[in-house]
Amino acid sequence: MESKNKIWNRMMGIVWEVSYALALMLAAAVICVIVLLVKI
Amino acid sequence: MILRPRAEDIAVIGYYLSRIILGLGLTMLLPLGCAFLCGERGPFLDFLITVEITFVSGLLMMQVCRAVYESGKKKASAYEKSIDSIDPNWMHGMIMVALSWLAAMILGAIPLWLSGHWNSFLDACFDSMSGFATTGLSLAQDLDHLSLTHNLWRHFTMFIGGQGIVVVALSFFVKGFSGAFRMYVGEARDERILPNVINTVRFIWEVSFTYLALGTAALWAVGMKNGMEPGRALFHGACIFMAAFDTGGFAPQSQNMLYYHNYGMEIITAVLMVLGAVNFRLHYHLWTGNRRELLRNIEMRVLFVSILVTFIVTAVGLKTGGSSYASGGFPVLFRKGFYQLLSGHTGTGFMTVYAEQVGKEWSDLALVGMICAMALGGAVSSTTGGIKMLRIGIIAEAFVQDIKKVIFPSRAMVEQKFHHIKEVFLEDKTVRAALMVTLAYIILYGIGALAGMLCGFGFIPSLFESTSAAANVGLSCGITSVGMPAALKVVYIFQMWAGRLEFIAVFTLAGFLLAAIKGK
Amino acid sequence: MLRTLTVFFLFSAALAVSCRGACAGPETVSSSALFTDPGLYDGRTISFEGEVIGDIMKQGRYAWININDGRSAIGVFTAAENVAGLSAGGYKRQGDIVRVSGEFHRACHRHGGDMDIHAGSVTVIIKSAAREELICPAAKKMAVLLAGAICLLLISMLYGRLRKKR
Repeated sequence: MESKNKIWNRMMGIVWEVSYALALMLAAAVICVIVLLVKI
Repeated sequence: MILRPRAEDIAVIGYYLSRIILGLGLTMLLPLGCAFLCGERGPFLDFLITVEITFVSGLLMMQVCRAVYESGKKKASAYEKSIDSIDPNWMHGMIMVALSWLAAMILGAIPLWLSGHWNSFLDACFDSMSGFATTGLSLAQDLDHLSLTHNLWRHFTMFIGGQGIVVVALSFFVKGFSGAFRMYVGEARDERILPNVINTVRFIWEVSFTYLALGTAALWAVGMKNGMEPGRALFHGACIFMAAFDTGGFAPQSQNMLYYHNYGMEIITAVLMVLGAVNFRLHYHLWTGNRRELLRNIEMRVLFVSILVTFIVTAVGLKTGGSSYASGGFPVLFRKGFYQLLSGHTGTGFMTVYAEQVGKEWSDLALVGMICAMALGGAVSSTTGGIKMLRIGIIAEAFVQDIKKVIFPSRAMVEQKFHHIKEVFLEDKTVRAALMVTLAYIILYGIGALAGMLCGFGFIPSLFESTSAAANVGLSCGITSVGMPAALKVVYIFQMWAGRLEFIAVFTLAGFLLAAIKGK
Repeated sequence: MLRTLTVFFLFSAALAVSCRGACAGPETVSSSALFTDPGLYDGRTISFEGEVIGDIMKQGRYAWININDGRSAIGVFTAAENVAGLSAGGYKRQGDIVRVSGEFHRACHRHGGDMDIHAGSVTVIIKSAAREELICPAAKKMAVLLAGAICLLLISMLYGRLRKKR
């Protein structure tokens, strides 16, 4: 049971880390769009 | 009064250094095996010679140091314990680390030099240090015809250097000793994840190998979808993973990431670069169930904001620069601008543009955004270089505290806290330490920029390349080439070394040498 | 007389070269010229010569190859049938030396801003060949010598330890 929990925690940890990276990319994509729309 | 170091001190340093060299020799068996399996006879011989030189020098040094130590033991002033059971003190640990990186550079350069793809031994040393320090600047010639074995070694040096040469050597030790922590700290890993250093080292490997499996599999799949043969896709996947997760920046082909012309490859490497910029201590907490830490941690917050802010500068610079990128639209801004910026901020150095293009076509504003990103770096105790997020966070908090002190009534106690694994009260000594290292980095960036300008390059390119070397990034705007002056190569090697070790070990070595000359 | 002849000879040589250029189609450009002045060639049809390196990456009807002219490699995007039968260079092989003709982009809109050539034709100039591995006899001797040195060191260490035990 304990080892199952351990593996679950590790997996969720990886999912959270990867989603942080993806969120970062999404935010950057939004910035791209804004920079393109705004006339400088 | 400065005391001249005793012969026994040098013997202790040499003895542990020899063990690290032997550990490094063991890691060289991997490319040796690769050469055997691939039937590459020339590279096999290159690595055989290197492994032999490594073992001979390691064993010889061990014997000599033991003999020196034993002969000194008879004196009254000497250490009483035998050399195997003595614990290295702080000075020993720091000097050992500084020297072991230099030794690794020289030994790691031998197979590269023997391959004939590097014009001189200095060039090979440059690439070797660039690999171990996870920088990614390269002086290789005709990289597209380099053997698989040498290519594997180039990327493997990043995997070793990213985790830390001492960490690698410690993994071969069966049991820990208290001096191990002092060596571990010397490699800019000031945070112990677990109470025992050996367990810490094991956890670092657990993270690295888990991601090695996942990342390589993902890159392999994308590579095959991209039309590469399965075997080659696997090789490229493993190499690219090592360079991405350890924020290194070498790639198997001369065009770096541009070689693949593939969106998927860029997305996966971008994720891996961010993962490489995460503190190993944070990895531990996330992997043991404390997932909220990701959102609360000061480093992850600062990293998020800092990447986006520097990206805005770069994006505006690219749009208004009048270059072809200005009319490129979203894909160009994202795949060129953001990818390069992320690669710079995390200290990786993967490029999807040519170095010449960065130097010629990117506007000064875009380059300044990139320089800021490179200078800041990733999280502490990660594989990145640069000033690092925790220090930036601490300095920002200190600013807030000082402003509060002015605004609030004079009797009010202003206490500032930040969250890094646990709530930490901001103390003056923490701020001082953060500021000192930041200042040292800025001076190092400046020295390199000055050297670049002395060699006749412009201010912004010089600063760009110098920051790239000192923060262990590896992006280039065209200065790094075989034809650059040898003195500049030496300056960059020094920057990569000092930047990777975060100064303390380097300063200790300098102090030790000074004491050896001027001491009484 | 000699001078007139020389002038005539030079003139005809220049004419021949320019004719050949015109007949051979678009101008052959080196990678360094492309890097020095990408704006000049942007959107124009050019020829580029070099060795196919690494992999031939076919994706459905299209394919990517990378061509190295000795200084730098540039990506070439072309129809899959153009790359059939090409072999790429690596450690053990010298790849096909090819001439590609097509439109040059300093920052291709279709491919995320890559600097690339969309080639209509790929012609093999020199077929690929195996590369000889050069093995230095001195290196072999050195390897044997060092192996001997390791053995000697290990024996001396073992001897020292045994003597201490006694």
